[in-house]
Amino acid sequence: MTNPNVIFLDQLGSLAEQVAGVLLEGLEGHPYDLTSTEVWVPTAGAARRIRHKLAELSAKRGGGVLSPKFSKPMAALLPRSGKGGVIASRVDREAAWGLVLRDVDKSTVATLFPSPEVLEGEQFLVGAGAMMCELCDRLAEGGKTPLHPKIIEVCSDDVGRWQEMDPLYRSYLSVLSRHGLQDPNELKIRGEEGSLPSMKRLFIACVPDLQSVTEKRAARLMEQGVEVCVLVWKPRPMDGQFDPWGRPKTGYWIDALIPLQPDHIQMAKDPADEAAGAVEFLAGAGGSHAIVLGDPKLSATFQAEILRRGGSPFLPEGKPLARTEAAVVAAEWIKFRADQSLRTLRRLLELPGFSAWIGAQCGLSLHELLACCDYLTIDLLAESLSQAEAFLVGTSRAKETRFLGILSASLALGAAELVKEIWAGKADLVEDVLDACAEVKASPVARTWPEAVDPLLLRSFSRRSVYGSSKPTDTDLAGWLEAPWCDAQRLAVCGCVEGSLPSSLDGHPFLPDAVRGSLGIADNSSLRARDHYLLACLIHSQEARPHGKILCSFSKFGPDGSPSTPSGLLMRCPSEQLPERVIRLFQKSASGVARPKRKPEWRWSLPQVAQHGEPRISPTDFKKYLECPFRFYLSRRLGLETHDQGAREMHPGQFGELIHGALQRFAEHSRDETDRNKISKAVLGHLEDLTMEMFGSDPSPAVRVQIQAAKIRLQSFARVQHGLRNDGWKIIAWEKKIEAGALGSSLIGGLPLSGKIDRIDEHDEKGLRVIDYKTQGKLITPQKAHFASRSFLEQARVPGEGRALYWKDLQLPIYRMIVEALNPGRPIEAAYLALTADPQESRIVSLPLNEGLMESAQRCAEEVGSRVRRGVFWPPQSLPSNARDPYDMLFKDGTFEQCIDEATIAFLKGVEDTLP
Amino acid sequence: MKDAIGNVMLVANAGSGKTYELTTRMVRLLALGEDPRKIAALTFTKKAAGEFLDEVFLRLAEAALEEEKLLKLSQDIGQSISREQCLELLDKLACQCGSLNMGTIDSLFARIARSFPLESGLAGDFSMLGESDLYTARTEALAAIFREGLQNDEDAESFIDLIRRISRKEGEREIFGTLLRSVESFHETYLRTPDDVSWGDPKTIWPGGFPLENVKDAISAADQFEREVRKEHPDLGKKASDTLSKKMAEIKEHIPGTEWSGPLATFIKAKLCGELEIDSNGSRCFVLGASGAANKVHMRGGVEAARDELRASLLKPIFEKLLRRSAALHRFMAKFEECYGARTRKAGRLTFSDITDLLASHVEKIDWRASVGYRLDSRFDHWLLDEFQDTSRSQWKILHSLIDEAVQDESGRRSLFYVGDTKQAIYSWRGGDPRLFFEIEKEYNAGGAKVIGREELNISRRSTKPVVDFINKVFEDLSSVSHEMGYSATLLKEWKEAWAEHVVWDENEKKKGYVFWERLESSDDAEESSSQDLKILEILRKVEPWNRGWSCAVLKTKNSHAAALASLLQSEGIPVAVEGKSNPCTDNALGIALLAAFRLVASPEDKFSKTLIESSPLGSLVFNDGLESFRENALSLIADEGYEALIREWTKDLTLPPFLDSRLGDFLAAAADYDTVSTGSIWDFVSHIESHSQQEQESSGVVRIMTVHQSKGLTFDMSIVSGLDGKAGQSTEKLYLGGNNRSHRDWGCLMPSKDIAESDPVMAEARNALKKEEHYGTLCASYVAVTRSRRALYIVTDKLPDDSEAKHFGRLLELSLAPGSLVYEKGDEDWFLEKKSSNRKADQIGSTTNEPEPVFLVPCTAGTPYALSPSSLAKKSASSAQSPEGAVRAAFSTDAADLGTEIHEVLSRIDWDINQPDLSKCSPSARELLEPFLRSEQAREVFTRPGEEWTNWNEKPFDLMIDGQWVSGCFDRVHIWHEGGRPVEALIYDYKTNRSTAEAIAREYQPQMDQYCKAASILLGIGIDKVRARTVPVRLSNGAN
Repeated sequence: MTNPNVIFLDQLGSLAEQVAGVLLEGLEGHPYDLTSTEVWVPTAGAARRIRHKLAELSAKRGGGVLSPKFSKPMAALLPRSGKGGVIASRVDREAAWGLVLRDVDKSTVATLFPSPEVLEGEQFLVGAGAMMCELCDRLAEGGKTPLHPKIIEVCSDDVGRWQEMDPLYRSYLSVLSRHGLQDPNELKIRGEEGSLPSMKRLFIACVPDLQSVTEKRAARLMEQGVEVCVLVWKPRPMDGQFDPWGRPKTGYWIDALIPLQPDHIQMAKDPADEAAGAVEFLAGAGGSHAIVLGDPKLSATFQAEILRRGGSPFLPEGKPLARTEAAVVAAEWIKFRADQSLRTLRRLLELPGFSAWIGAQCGLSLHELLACCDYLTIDLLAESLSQAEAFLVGTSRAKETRFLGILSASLALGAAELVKEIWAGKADLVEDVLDACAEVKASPVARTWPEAVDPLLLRSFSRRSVYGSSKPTDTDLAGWLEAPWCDAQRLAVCGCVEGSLPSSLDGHPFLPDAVRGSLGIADNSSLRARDHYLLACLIHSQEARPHGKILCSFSKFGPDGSPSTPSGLLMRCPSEQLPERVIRLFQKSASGVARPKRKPEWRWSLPQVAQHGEPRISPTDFKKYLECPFRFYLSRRLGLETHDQGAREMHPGQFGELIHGALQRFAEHSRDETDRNKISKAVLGHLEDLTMEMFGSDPSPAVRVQIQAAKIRLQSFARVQHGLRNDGWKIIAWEKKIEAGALGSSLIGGLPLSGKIDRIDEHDEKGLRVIDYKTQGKLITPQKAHFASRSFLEQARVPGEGRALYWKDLQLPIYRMIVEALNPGRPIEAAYLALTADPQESRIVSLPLNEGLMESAQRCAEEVGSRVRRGVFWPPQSLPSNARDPYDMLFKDGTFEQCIDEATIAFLKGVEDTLP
Repeated sequence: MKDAIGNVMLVANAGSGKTYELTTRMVRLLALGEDPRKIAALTFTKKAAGEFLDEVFLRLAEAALEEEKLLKLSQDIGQSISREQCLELLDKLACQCGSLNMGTIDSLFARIARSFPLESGLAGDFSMLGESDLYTARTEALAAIFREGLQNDEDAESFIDLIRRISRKEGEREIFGTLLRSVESFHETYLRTPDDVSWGDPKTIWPGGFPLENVKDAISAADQFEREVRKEHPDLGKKASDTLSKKMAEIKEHIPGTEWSGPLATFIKAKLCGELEIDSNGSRCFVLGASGAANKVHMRGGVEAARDELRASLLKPIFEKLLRRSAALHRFMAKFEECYGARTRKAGRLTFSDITDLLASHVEKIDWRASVGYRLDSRFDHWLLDEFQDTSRSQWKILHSLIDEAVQDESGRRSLFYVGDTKQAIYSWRGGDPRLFFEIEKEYNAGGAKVIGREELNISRRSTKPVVDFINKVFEDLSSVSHEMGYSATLLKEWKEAWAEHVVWDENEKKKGYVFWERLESSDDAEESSSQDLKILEILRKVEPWNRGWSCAVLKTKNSHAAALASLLQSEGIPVAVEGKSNPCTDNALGIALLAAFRLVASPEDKFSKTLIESSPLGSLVFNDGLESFRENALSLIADEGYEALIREWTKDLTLPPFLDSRLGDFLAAAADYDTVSTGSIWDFVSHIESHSQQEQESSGVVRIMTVHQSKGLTFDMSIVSGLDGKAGQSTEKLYLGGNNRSHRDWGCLMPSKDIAESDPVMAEARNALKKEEHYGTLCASYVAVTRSRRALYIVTDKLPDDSEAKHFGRLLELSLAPGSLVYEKGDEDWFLEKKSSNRKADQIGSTTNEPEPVFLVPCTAGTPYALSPSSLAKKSASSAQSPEGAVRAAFSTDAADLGTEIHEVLSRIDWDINQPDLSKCSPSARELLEPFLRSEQAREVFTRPGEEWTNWNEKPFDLMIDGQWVSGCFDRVHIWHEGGRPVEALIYDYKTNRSTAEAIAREYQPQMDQYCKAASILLGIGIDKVRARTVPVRLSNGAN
């Protein structure tokens, strides 16, 4: 067999231009006709640059060019149509493998699939199918299918699995064949016509890793009379050895030295430093610059740095289709149809296409749609569509009802139909997604397996990329194989770390490195040799270029903080230089510049809100104020409540409200009940009614379990209430509204009181008892709840000997004051009715209050009232370390004064009391 | 033949040069001619792995350059090595850089797992779950259990019953959150529990049966006890008698299985379970109600038996409840695991622990080792294992399967070298079992065999004499404090086995050093940590290590404490770097405002977030056009470009000071990372950012703040240790896995409280074992903390009350050092004056004034060239939605073509014969269009040869320059009229499959046709006036004809 003609491209300047020059050689104008020429290129970018140079060169000669066909070599092998039928698409192939694996007798593939659960469920079958497709694609590069006898010979350590693979692969082919389809790899290997029928010339343009199957095809074309020419990049004066197909010879290149000088190498601490260094290097080129990323994981950091430095980055590799809005809509819709979860719905509503579509149908704005969803998930705690629907039956919530009604009716739409509906008339915007949908829909194999359609579609999304628009002035973040085609004065090759550059395989389930070479597939040595060769070319080429410079950089630590190993390519220097090179590459990481010092540069400038409406203070306000006047301002004045978007169950406050509600209804309707069972029945009945009102007939699962917990507490209430009745206590008031002036004529600190008392009981002999319901986890006695060992407010001090004691809550003393004012002269007790998590602990617990205590409570209350009236909400207090502070986010920069701006602080310090 | 190198276990004190020994071993192996690819060197942390590789390269490189280092290397490896050999070895390593097996155990296991997906039940590759992902995955799995567990009433009842059984309290209001915490605490334990074991099974806990099985009920036991007491004590004092009646009544009223009330619990613990007094007559008794002989209850007659019976009857329901809860928890974990496994693990989202478990399940398969070697291309001859004390039993199971052959290799040409210090075992919380370290040696050397040799490193090459003396004094003899500290005999034995006196290295003997420990008066709990932090500030101000060039670290026990200290020091102008993991997105006002902005985008009713944004400089920028517009724009940008782009948009007009600018960079990077892996909702994104953590790298010239765990393996000139006397965190229930065999546990059970556990020997032993682990872990953490210093060690703790029963390091110091005052110090307090202060003000450190001006990129002239496509011109005029300046880059695709492409492809096959194409192979939709079209008059015109002089181009791609712009396109069909062999006129046809009228199509595509005309004119070298172009609508039903 004769070898192809090899042309070494050794001129200075752009590689693409040299290739274009060769292509145009000997052609005459009007037009320069290359339509009978095919060019195999290593990357899409290479084709684009060559076409550009063809246009430029032909223009210089006064014409244009009818372009050749450009292909990557493996793609070039695919016939335009299969003689024995249609060529199977990737979807067909994954589905066919999935079906084979679904139907196989598991006992016959026990070596291959020792964990049979891999073969359960469409998602996993399709996944396993995809894995098989990948394996076959790799084998095809070496011109083999799983049936090739060489495999058993080469993979002798793994015979069992390959033997099991044999019948599976045959079944796969027969599934395809049953549907009139042909496997593309079989066609490529068989070498049926794939290239232009009229092809006269084939150029293999600088493909340093030409697959062996494509080499065979080229050889066959030569036999058929096609002129095959191999173009090899070899900038002068570089030496090198190549095989007849222009591939760098592994034996030669793996040991070859790379003329990299120390000043070509830059070691950075981390990717951010590396990106900064690279951009700085490029900035000196006046625009003629290019970046190549050896490690694709760096792209986010480099994009960010280029943007910071006023450039505009572009990713030629494109963006995964799965990240586009239409694909996300389709994927989330598939999920929503399956789980009907309101959390999935919320994600859909955040997608403008979907929300505009559903909003238009139900006449709701985006704001209203999101608010509806928040209501259902946060207030109602509904998890699913059905729970929300069950709640809405018979309610007056028209927006939610309309929204869910339309949504339910839309569930019949499939993902593709939904995308079409949403983007009706704008199909060009979602062309790629519709293509993927059409591919699955058109697959004859997928048609026989409807359950697999959604997993196949999702896989199709994840496989595809979309290519955005770039501007001519964008800085491309090109991949390593694009490097030879970058035509710039300054070239930064970044991410030179082992594993990425040179790239290597690190183990494989079927094709470990040791067997690849024998199977004709690229192995670590050949990849390393290729990368040695390319880097050597780049250095020669850049050095020869006027003002040309190259930088090879790596960072000591990768994007995830793990240490990286510098690329072995950087160490291919003469032996005597190696120690210095190694010391340079492996030195301790250059210490990073200390992070800029934290200064409280952004201080919160909070709204300065004066009291709205008629000023009042409630008995529960005192605790809040005494805990922290500043937080009191945030919650009571500004009404800042945290919005728990992740809520899956009632928060303590809601849980308390539910129990309070049931107890209030009990007091209202069943207070005279004396029988424990009847008390229990009554209060549980009230709970049931309330639950229905609050959460509908189908509350979310977590809420249902919480309701059970509430029942336990209410059963313990029945025990306590039964005891109280037996003792002679009667309920005389409940939800007792505290009227303005409840304390007679006097106000508290100049403010009238407002609020409600949970309950007041009366005993013929013992007098009155004012009760506050508590639904804590553990029993907290009123003593513990009302007194602290310190306070910012001197007036909170309780007079007495010994250890200082301060009021931290005034609820029960205030209640007592109110009841006393209404019932002068009667003995009054103030107590908690604690309903705790441990039902045994539930009980009445009183707070003993003597005159001295009442006086000091009054004094404290007066001071708090006065401060609130005067707008004094300073100083803030540190909360105990175990307390949950919803406002802690405001205090990230140190002390309170460092976090809040001066004007706000001045406002919060309030005004002097001018009242007598 | 190569020399035998032997298996070695190296027991090493902290700072004695473990890493140096490992690299020495590695170099020695290389010098012996071993293939570097056949050496596996595994460490525990990524950082250590990186340092190990660096050291190997550097030692060889330095030896190749300096004679002295060459000699030293020869000495270290025990054989002469030449400069040339060093160069040769370096070259060999450099060539095989990518095939070296130096990394973490986790990374080796991940590599193996990637090669065994099908065996591991995975249909493809997997990704590693980060901490926040794990939280989300667990939450979702739990939510799914709730959904599935409550699908019908029957399920719901049993599910609710199960949940209630798990709860400590029946009326617990927080259900989901509590279960999620249970999952965090017990899921790993569940996975480590053998399949044949369930928790809370009395038969396996007590092989002789549940000891309280036949105990009578509490009511009759109380009656019996009271009877017996009164019978034996007819003159019982009134107080005692009343108390007896009252307590027995309470016992009888108590609902079995529920918690005892406080006073009742005290009575039971003190009188029924506690130790008895011995009175002057030698009689055993307890006092009831009041002191005095009349109030003593003696153990005579049937009293003792009745007391035992009563105690047992009270404990029985408690044990039963514990067993029930344990069993329910196990059932729940099984349910959770089923759901989590299917949703997360099977979907290829794994933790390192999952990987270990998956692999551990394979190792017993016959061909396992061979398969690993084959699929990884790695058959290791030599194993070097660092920090072995942190290895878990599951990890060892896998390693053992791979290493065993090398250890047992009689030729001595394969080997194991493992290094550890069981005093530094601080990873027991993630399964590390320090006992393995010595067990392995014992097992291999059983029966007197000398398979593994033992070497020890006791010389501290790190620390000065005061520091070494301090370490010896505190940790050498724990037996003297064992009673007060609650150290068990097992703990003392294990510590003794691990302990070796630390010896000062000759070279450090004369260096100045210092140890300082101060106990701080603390008046209030809330101020504890701040008083220690203030002391740290004082020490740092005095020493000014950043100004003198001393490396300095402050060690804390928790990340949150480290962050709090960092805030304090930074606000005082001290340059600090918080190392280890921190969240740069949420520790500053900008990050908080950005997160609030995201929350507000998602939730219109979130007033808090709105106020936050309005209160920050961000507000005036993002709310310019009103709230509705803010939300709509934000959602559009997220959908189009991702979260990172939105943050950039929001902040583009902000002028940020350096600190916030750097934090914004971190936020953007975190968002960009999220965008590359996820398309989650705003809630997901916010939650991801909130739990994001970033590994800060080493810094110099600053005070480094880190946790004790992060300091492991590091050395500093001075270190300040704080917080080791902290209160234990919130008490979480412990579950004990017990059994005779450490690698196979037979039973599991939630642990009762101390008093209750002590009533049963099995539970007492289990509790003691757990306690021992806890104490051992505390000791190890303390040892690690105080062994980091080269020169000076500072420790701050709070002063303990005299009656303290604390078991933390602060108490250990008090007991072992017995200081007379609040301060203990040894050595030279002015040690640091050895280096002069640079007198830089703290504000100057890391200030922005020294930062170089940023360099800006000018627009690129070397990017991918931009081609103008005639078809894009048409679209430009037709659709404003299309990017006006962008060219869409085509993908190489082998996938099935769409309809338009198919139509073009079929028509391109027609030369002049309209019947040429075989439509039978077309798709139905293409056929539907083509059949009527090819019959039409228009088609006849397009495909009829005008004359002999006419030639035809079909599907001709072209590239050319028009007015300096590269134009790239493709003609569908061109008829060319030649005269004298030269083209003189051309007619271009362009097929259109649009659903539109012929007129509309013609209008829409006019710019494209104009461009085609220019192109044809250039290509054919004819005047533009000789070229015409027409659109050819293929869809006849649109009236195109």
